Amino acid sequence: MSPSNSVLEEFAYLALSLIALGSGLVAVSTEQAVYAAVALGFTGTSVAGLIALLGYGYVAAFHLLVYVGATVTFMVFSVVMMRQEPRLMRSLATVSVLNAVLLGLVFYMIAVSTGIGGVLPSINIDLGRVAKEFIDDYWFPLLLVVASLATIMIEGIVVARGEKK
Amino acid sequence: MTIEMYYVTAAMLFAIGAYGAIAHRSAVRILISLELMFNAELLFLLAMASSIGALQGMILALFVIALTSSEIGVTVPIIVFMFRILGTTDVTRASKMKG
Repeated sequence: MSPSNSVLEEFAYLALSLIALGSGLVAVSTEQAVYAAVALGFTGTSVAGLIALLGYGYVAAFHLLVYVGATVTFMVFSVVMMRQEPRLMRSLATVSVLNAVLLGLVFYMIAVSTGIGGVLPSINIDLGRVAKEFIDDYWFPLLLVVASLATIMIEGIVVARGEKK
Repeated sequence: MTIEMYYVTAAMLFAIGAYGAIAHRSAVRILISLELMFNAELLFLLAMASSIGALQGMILALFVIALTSSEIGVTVPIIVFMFRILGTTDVTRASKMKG
């Protein structure tokens, strides 16, 4: 990788990380649930960008299409139907900040203790190979995922029909 | 660029999500916070997988994203029904729902 590409990559990483963390903060702190759901969409988009920077272009595209494009949009439209909601539990706010910091530290320590680190390797995965792995080795989990998504579709139809009077 | 930088971002995002999941009373806000934690976990998983098994990590990530979509598809209608029945999404009042 040329030095200019490396600088560009670091700049992209910093920008995407800041957007992801900033949107995350907005999602947990804003008063309106709709804005929180939209902020979650921005976080999802930024995380997809970070995933692409790691070298997983297909996963990033899948994350954008399925997670941000469908799931978060579904959540935004559902939240629109609800009124103003209860606020923070003030008694738990301080404890939760402390807990969040400790969880973040534990999360990081797990990563450090496994010894996995260093410079990012370049990743080139053939999509045909992934599809072959899915069909040959992971056919049962794939079947379960398809069944669960079909269940969601049926559930969506039931919810959309509403209650019979 | 090092993998540790991605760990830091994932840890911070996870911490923000954990704060929201504990501190909020609204089911919608708790779900949104849990989704922030999911995004952090996904980033963490793929950062780790880039060193020890890129293909398996990619397959696991695809499954996880699909299952999370299913999870939201189940959870959001439950919250909608809760709002229809109770008129609120306050989780402290969820025990008043009848099965």
